Amino acid sequence: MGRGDENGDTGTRESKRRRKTAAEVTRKPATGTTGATGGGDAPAVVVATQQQQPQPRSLLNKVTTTTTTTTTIPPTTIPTTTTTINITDVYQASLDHECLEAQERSEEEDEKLVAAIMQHIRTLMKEILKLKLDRPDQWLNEVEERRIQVLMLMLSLRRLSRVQKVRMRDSREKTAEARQSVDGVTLQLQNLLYEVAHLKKEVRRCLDFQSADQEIDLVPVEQFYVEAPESISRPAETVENPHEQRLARLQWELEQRRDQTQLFDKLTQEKEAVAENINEQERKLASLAPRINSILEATRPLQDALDLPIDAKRDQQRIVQLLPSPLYTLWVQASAYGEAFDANIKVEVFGDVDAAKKLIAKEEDSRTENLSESDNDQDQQEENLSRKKRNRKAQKMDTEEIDDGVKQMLGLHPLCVKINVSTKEGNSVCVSFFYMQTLRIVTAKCSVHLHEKTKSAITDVISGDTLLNCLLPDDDGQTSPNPANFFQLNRLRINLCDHLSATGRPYKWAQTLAGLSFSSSKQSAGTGEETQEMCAVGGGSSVGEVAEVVTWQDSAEQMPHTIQAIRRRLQARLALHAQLVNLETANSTSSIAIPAELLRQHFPGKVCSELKSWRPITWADYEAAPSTRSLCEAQIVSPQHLLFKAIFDRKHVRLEAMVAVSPDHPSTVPVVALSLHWEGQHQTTNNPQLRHMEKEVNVHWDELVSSRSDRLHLLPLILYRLAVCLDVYTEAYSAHADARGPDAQFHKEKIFFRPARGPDRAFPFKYHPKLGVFSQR
Amino acid sequence: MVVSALKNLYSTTYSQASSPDGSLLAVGNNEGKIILFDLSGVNTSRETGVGERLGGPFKTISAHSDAVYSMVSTDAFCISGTTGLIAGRRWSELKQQQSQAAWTISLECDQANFGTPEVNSLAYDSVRGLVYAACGDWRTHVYDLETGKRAHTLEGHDDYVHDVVTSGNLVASSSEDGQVFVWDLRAGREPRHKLAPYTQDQLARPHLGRFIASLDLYNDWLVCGGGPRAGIFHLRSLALTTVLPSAKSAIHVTSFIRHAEGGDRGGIVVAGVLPHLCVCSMAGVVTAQLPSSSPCIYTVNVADKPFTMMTYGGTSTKIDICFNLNYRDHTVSLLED
Repeated sequence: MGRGDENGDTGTRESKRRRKTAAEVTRKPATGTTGATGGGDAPAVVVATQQQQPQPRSLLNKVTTTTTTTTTIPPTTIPTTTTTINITDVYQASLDHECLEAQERSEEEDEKLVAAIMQHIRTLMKEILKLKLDRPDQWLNEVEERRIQVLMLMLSLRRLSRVQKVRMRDSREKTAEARQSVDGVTLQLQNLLYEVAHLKKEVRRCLDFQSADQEIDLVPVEQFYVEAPESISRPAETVENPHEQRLARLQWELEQRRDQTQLFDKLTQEKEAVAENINEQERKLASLAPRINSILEATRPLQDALDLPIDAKRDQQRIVQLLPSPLYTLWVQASAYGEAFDANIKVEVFGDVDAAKKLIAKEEDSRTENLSESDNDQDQQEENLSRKKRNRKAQKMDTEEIDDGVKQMLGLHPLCVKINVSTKEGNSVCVSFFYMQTLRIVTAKCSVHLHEKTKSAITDVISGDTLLNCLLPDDDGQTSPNPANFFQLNRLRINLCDHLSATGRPYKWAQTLAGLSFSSSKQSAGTGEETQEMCAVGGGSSVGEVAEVVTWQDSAEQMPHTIQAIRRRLQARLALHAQLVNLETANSTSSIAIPAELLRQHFPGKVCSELKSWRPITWADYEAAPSTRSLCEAQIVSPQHLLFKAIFDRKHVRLEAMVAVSPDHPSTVPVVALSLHWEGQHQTTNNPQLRHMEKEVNVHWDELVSSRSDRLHLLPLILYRLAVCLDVYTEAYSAHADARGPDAQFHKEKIFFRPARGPDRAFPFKYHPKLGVFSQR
Repeated sequence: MVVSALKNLYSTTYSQASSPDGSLLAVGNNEGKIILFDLSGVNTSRETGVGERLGGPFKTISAHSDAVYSMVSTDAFCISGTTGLIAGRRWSELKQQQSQAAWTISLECDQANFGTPEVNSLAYDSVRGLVYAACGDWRTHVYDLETGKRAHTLEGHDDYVHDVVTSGNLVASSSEDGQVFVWDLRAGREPRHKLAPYTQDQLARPHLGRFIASLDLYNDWLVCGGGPRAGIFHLRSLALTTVLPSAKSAIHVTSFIRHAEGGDRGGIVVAGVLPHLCVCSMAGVVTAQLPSSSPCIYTVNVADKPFTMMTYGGTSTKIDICFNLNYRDHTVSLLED
């Protein structure tokens, strides 16, 4: 209840104070000094003014009067300022008094005092009321008197209230003080707690400490007691005490290690001594070699004098021993054949002898140590690689791994056999035979050396790479003749064709010469067992000579045929080359070089169609031409063929002939594919007469050649015949078609009786040389 | 191997004939060979409804030294014509794989100007027992099969005769010179009608030439084609009634399909230097276009007994077989394996 009153009290007081301050502000300009002194503690001043109401009023009045006077008389300002100082002193005194009062009296006393005053006021108010109602005489004075009493009581209430305020301020200060001390204590407590936690952590770390000795492998306890001497193990003390036991075991470990280090040092010294010994012996051996060499050197003049190539032969013999067995077979057979029949054959062995020696040593090692084949191959492979390469390989393993696999798969034996076959004219073919170690096949590389006169004429027709293609039918050297290789190559996704320039071509005849005979793929397909074995070889097992059999007899039989075939091929290619050179420069039919005798024998005197151009084309061009589709589909022409495009013109008629010269030309004759431009494009499919013409050239070539030597001229003969056929075609066609322009017609110059014959209206392409006429076939 | 492959590449089928009972099909090619197919298996399978394909050749006979340009079938004989020679073989003997000719007729003619003439086409008149041979010496020779002698000769063309057909009393022949003659045997030696399709603007194709390679007769209608387009003529009025559509190339076969089963009555087959064969209606509308394994077709044989079967071949080693005139059933190789 008291609190609520207090609130209400403060509310009224606040409003009053506001009013007062307003009054003060209004007064401020006049009493600048009072404003300055009271500014610090305005409420206190106000309270003071209220309390000393009677005096201040009079004072203020005085001030106002004095200020009005000061405007006129400045010297009188000094007394006024002293009076204001007095006033503040009075305030201060009353404040101090109130503080004293607050300390002297307790709150409870004041509370009772307030209640008594309130009661007093109430009775006075009731008396006033009664007086006002009754209105006795003198009531006005009575009322005035009582009102003064009430006002006085009110004043005392106000003072009490101020005293209470002072008390509150005091108690607040005390509380603040108390809180400060509590805060200090709390901080201290927290510091202590932190210290405790830190200490605990330290303790835990100490508890968790791992000693170095725990990582040392020690002999088991039982063994320790058995092996260690009493002096170290001290069973009496250590059995019971684990710590002592551990120390003892560590001691024993140290002891043992020291012993072993000594042993190691001793053995190293022994080893060095032995190595020293070996070195000395090697030096002795090495000093022997020059002496032997000098002896050999000394015999050389004698050898030369007696013309005995013992040395060279011995060198060769020594190298030959290093050859792998297929190449050895080849060497033996070829040199035997050369010695027996053919002085124009030279057989030599070339290559890196040291590498071959190492290889053989490796093989022996692997045989004794019974290493697996693949490891052995790996070693061989690494032997072939330079040290630098190996370092690089270690760095980037992934990319090189496949590459290495390919290299290993296609690896050649370091030695090769070179057979030099020369002809009477002085031209020679040099064939190098290599052995592919992993694939177990023999490959051949070939180069041509021409006599000086024709030296400038080396082109791709007689270049070594394809010279020996199809020496035997269907032997293009593109795929491996060893059926097992299919699996090996497939595993690494190698296409042998892509590597032929590096490895040489694995011709079938080369295998035969080297005595390798492979079961053909047809047979192997029948027997499952065999293919399984091949798979095993492919998988890198050590089963070596399963797929191939080295047979000397076959090699011996085939050697003469093959040598002869190589000679014949060279001769044919040289002839063909001469013809091609001629054709490339030819710009008319008459400039096709054909022996006059053959020309007279097979062709009429006059030819009107002209050979306009002759140029080589690629397989892609050839295949793309519509005229060649049936030939390609029938697989008569393959990418192995040499391909050309010949163009014949007769006035506005143009004949395009795609000529395919077989690799074994002239055994297999050239094949042509025709297309004609004459008022539109004609193909053999939509023009039966053109088809007849193509047939005349492709099928009936045998009429043009009577002997083998004529065959060498087959290509020019065929081209000449094409020109003649175009004459006949244009003339026979003109004989029938109506209403052409006069310049489009062709005058009949060839002699034939019937321009067309039979249901298919065949043209007379066949020439009868004796009669000089053309007829249908 | 390459040589034989090349030969096969240029192999051409010129003629066909099927035996009257429909059990044998003979195919003549440019190497003088007659290739026989046994159709009995196919026929029985068609009776039972199981579609069986024709297998490989049953027998290959080296019949002539030159191409077998023409063949015709009679009741007893398979007659083939080549350069200077007509030969007859009994169907019954062919069935037993005997290849000897039962008889041969040599063309008697002067060889001075022409060399030995070839027999481009054969036709058989079963009523009179006559064989008509369209020959390279500009004439059509008529032989009596009873005597083996020449009965008479139809002359008048100015170039070699491409084709000859007979129907009832009429014989028609066409020639390289572009003329078509229709002869009436009762009327004497002169042709009764002369037609020159190359003079008709609708048919003429001067850049291909005038020649009429093929013709056919059916009642009052005549169809012919070659260098000019194929067209149907009405014989009584001698008017061109229909121009048959065809591509821009020469025609080698035009033929009426007579009694074919399945509503194909009155159709016409047109083929030539085209990789397909057209079946047209009389009105000139193409009703079917059958693909061909030969880029150029020289012979079409339509048999109607016991079943409809059309075989056609040309510049390849294959013939195509249809059991119905609307689509190609399958293709058979002429090569023996």
